[in-house]
Amino acid sequence: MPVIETQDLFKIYNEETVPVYAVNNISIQFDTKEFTCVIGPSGSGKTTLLNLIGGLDSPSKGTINVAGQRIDTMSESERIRFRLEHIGFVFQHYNLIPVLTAYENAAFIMQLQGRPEEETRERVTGLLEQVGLGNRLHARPSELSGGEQQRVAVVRALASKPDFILADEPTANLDTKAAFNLLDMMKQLNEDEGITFLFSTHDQRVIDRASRVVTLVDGALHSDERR
Amino acid sequence: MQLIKMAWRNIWRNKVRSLAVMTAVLLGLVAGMYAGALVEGIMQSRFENFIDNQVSHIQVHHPDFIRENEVFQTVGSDLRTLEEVRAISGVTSATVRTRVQSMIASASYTGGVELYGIRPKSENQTTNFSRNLVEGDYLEGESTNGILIGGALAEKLKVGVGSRIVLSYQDKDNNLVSGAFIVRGIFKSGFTRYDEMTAFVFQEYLNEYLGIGQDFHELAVLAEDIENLDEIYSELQKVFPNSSVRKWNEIEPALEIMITSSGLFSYIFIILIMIGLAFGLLNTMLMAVFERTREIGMLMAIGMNRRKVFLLIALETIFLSLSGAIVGLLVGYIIVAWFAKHGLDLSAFSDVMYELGVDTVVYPALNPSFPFVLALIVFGTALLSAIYPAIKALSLSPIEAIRK
Ligand SMILES: Nc1ncnc2c1ncn2[C@@H]1O[C@H](COP(=O)(O)OP(=O)(O)O)[C@@H](O)[C@H]1O
Ligand SMILES: [Mg+2]
Repeated sequence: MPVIETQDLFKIYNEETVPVYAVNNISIQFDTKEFTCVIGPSGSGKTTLLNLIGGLDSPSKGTINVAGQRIDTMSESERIRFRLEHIGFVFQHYNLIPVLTAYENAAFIMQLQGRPEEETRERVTGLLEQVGLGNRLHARPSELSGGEQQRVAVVRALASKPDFILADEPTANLDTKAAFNLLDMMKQLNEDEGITFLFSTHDQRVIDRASRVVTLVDGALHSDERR
Repeated sequence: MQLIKMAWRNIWRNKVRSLAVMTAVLLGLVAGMYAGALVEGIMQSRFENFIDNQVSHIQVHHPDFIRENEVFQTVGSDLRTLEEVRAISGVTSATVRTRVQSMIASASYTGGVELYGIRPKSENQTTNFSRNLVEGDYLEGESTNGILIGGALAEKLKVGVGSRIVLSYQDKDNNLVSGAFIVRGIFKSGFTRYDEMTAFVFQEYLNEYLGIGQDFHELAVLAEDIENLDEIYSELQKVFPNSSVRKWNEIEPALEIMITSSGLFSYIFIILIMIGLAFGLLNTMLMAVFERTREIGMLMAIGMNRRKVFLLIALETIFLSLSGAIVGLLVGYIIVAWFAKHGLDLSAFSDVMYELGVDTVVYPALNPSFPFVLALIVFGTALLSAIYPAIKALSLSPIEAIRK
């Protein structure tokens, strides 16, 4: 059962003048528990595809089914709600809220969802400990390294057990060691929690960790290989 | 809870800017409170002077006298009635007066005055009139041809204490009578027009000229409490069933308008200050929203709904203004309270103060509800200035914000 399924998906910018096919006719499925990496050169449409799948953007043509629901036809507020309930996000930067501590950031989604405090605390502290941040719970983002910040962001995305996690170039701002650490951690959580990960990168270093590699070129699907 | 925490911490991200806004709110409120209290104090002083000097709390007249001012339109002459009035519970004192329109003349000037025949002792108990004397003496002892005139009138007449002036008026049978009077004292009531238009003589002396025996035109009553006149009023109506009994606000409706409009003035002043503050707040919050475009976009991207984003920005605006406001109200209250106790000496402006009919030392008076109304106004201002930046925040597109 695919958790994500796109059909004949297009995202075309400047349709009337000089059209840019940022996403060009992509039909693809992602199954539960997959750990997929989307690669391709800069400008190949990785961000656009992820934004479409994450309900942040709406397609020019085609359909997107996520967790059994059509998200391409949803209104903006329906999509916000859907994102909160079903999708975890990790961005390249500006992931965390500067005025909240690591713990508060990691617990943010669960609190927005209105989960019980006790459950949230157990889950979030447990995860933060698991990713090696047990002693940084009360640090502000500015006191954390780039790698630590991304780990908090992954915990935030994961804590509420979404249907899948989208990470657009999560390692772009990290040094090699931190990038490997983050990927290992994501892989570990993918296995432990059975959560679907879909992340993009143009970073050769991290591609090897993926169990499936989807390559985009000029917005189109170039290759799709499982390992 | 989470939002409140975030909003509160967010306002401290740019400490200098937030403190500047808070200080502006604080100073605005202090200034507003002080100005409001000062106006209120001036108006109260004016009001009290006017009531004490002239109007008293309740007056009784012949029903037609108020309009027609005829000498024969007197209230009875039964002297026991005055005793009866004084015996009413809640009455501090009462006095009777004869009033007649008359011409006053010295060697250099002739003009009209309202001549009051008073009983000096009870008059003084009721209006404390003798304190207004700036020269000479109050009327005392045997009934004589002594007269008290206002300072402004004395200047016009070019007379002083001891001068002789002539008054002419009609008696009860419409015969013109004239009498010579000696200026005994000069008073300043605080109301220039009143000082120009009014003169006081012994009632007994005047009544003889007018031929009205012991009658009087006006009975003035001072009560213990101006807020509590209803019972005295109805008792007086029983004592004077055929006369017109009026409370101060019926006698001088303008006075009541003055009191209410002074409150209005304070609020207009405050609202002007608030408009300034609203722009400051608006500007600050717009800046805060634009600086945090990405962060707000990220919040919406991860699933924070519009209502919460709106609330977050609105809460920040409210916190920003309310923290300034709370301190401002406190400081303003303390400052006003200090001046209310010690008074503000405005003798440097004594001429103006005199024209206004106000004592030179003003005691700012804070209407007890004023700080609360102020707090409400600040809150309303904050809410209003919160709307636009919050809407601006909502219009941010999460993808645009995050892409960069
Ligand atoms: N808002 C936009 N308006 C016009 N063109 C856009 C916009 N967003 C992206 N594009 C174009 O779409 C293509 C794909 O961009 P993007 O998805 O960001 O690629 P990647 O993430 O792989 O670098 C690029 O050619 C980019 O210039
Ligand atoms: Mg990209």
